[in-house]
Amino acid sequence: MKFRSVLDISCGIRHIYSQLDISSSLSRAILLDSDMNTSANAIQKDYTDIDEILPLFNNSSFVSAINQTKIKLSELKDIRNSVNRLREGAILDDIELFEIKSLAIINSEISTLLSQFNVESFKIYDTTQILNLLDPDGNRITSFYIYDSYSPQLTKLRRDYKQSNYQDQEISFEISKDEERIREKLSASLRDHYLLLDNSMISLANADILIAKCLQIKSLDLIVPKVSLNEKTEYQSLFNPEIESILKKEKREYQKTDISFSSQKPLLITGSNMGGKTVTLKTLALSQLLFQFGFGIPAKEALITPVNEIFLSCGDDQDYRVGLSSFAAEMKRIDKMIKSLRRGRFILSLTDEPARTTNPVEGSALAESLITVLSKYTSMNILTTHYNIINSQCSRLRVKGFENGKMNYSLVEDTGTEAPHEALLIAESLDIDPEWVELAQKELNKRN
Amino acid sequence: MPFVEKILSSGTLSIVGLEKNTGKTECLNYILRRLSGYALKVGVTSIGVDGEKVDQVTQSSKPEIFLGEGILFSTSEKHYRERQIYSELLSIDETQTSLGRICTARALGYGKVLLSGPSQTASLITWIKKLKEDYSTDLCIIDGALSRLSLASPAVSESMILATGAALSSSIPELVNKTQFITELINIPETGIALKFDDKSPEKGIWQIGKGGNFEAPLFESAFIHGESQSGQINDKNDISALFVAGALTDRFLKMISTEKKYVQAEIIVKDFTRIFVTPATYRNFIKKGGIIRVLRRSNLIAVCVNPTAPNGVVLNSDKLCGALGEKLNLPVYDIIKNGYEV
Repeated sequence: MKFRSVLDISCGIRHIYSQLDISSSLSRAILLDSDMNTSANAIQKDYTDIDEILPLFNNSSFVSAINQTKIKLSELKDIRNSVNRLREGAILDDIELFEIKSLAIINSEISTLLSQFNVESFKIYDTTQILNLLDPDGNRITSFYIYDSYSPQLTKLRRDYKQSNYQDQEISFEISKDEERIREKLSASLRDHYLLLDNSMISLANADILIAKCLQIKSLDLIVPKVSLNEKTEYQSLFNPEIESILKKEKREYQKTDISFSSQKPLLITGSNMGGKTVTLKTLALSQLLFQFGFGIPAKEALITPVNEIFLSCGDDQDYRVGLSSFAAEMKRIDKMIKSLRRGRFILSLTDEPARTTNPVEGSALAESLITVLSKYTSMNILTTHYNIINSQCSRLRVKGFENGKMNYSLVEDTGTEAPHEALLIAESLDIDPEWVELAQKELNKRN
Repeated sequence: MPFVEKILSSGTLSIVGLEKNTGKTECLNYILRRLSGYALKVGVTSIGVDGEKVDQVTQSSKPEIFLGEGILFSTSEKHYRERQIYSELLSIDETQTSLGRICTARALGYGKVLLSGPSQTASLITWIKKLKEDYSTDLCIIDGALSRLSLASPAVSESMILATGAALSSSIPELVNKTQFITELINIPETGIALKFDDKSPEKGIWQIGKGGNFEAPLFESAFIHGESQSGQINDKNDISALFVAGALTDRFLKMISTEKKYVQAEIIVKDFTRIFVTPATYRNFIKKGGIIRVLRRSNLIAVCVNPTAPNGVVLNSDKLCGALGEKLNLPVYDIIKNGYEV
């Protein structure tokens, strides 16, 4: 899974991406094109890099070096095409040579800025050889032309052409021939360094991404998680940055939640409406994605298990384009998830109120049996529901719910099998038409 | 030729043609040639494809743009690769145009180049800023394309040269008439009212301006949506001294306002002449009735250049044309080719 494709998962990851202060468009392209880490080692490596850099932000000279580095990085261009052409044996033109020289200059400037801090996570290559080829006069200025110092013959031709008042077409032709010969020679010499060019460009982009991730951890108050090796995931004070920022604008506070689950049993979350069940699932999806792409995690503490795939089935996003109703779309989604389990993948599945859009009799049967299916596999499976589920193959958490007229979003362990009945209470608190709510209450009493 | 001296005192110059083939490029080459005699750092670009050998629309032959040593120029990647000049590449912009990114370079010898620079007004302003700040250019010259006037807005360039000619009309009186109307608009005086702009200054719509120059209420939210029914919005206070048109001044609005007694005395203020989109008849009618139109910033029209030859083969009498134009416009008028100002 590429980072580009997870941006459309509606869990708030696009918000995190939009808040990421990346300097160069090349780094952005590389990040979007990066694959999700699935091994604990790869994830651990990302966080080791972050762990090395984060404390340095307390050092003001490091901060100022980073600020200057970011300005230099903003000039970093994507010249992978030119480097490819170089590797394939093409003769580069002035524009391409200019771009390679710019890259070498940016690289050496950043190297000077950061070298004193000895950060292992930033791999900055030495591009002096490349720079010497493209800057024979040693001016170290970002500009390029076929310099006179490349060839005494060219110097003489240019002088003669000038003396002819730029009229002598014969000399003009000789000049262009000589320039082309120099370009060919330059390209051949640069070809030996194409790997260095490629590596230094990618390393600069990776440094850019790493810096942006660290800055984001500081600005959004995120943490570096621990990588879990025993298939147990635990969050303390988990929050969703996007929803938190919306609430902040309305001067309201986000109630952070603690949650833990393991691969042994599916976890069933029950609770009243508006209890934050969906938000919890979305935030779990978000944190898992951030974890596997090496970002900071929105929590106070986190221990997270790497998975192969992440499935989030939420809301009623019916796909009218292919003619699927909300029920059909949901069934297809869950089916995909089960198929992945049957293939033996270790997944995180987050299913919000399975089969809620159909009648409660069949709906609860579907939900009940889904738990049975899921419990056959060792994977991280979480579901929410309003149905009364008697299945014993799952552990249970319940949203605390309404307390003194206020919603308490914390999750507590639950032993009962009955889903809470707070719908009418909540409807009342929302100032819904009183006659309707009253009649519903009467109807309920009649049934009981 | 005196007008080159006038150019020296302005930091940005645009060359605008009223039609294609009105001799803009000839004019640009002439100016560049003349400026080489002064110790001046010059930068040049074009908002369209300019300097091509054959006109892309009419297939008639066109002059190329010649640059001397030291001149900075900006052109697209494609045309930078095709240049016939010895030059040092200084920077490449991130923004893409249809012909690639914009390259800025310094000419190290004498030669020819096709100019195809930034095409939007906003990117032109950035271009000017970059040349002035990064390369301390004294004079930025923008070559216009087709009949676009927007680059001559004082928001972009301080002064302008207008190119007109037989391509605009094959009849001298009509050509004079059309050119005269544009120069009339260009020469609309600046308003004497000090408008009080603040952070919330209107970006669109038509606003009533009080005696002190403050923005009262909007008369219309947009110049395009007004109609009879909305004239009820006109407030009855008698302290309205002017109407500020934030966007385009249209025929429809001028006609409406000239029937509104309350506003006959009010000055109409537009940002600059490029915002005026009215027919000569409506405009002159309005002025005759006693209407007043003013601009916030006036353009500095330095000279008018004419090209008496049209791509369809029409050749007008150059002396007659220059004479007729000069008399009506009260401005210096030049036929650069005929007078043999070597280019």
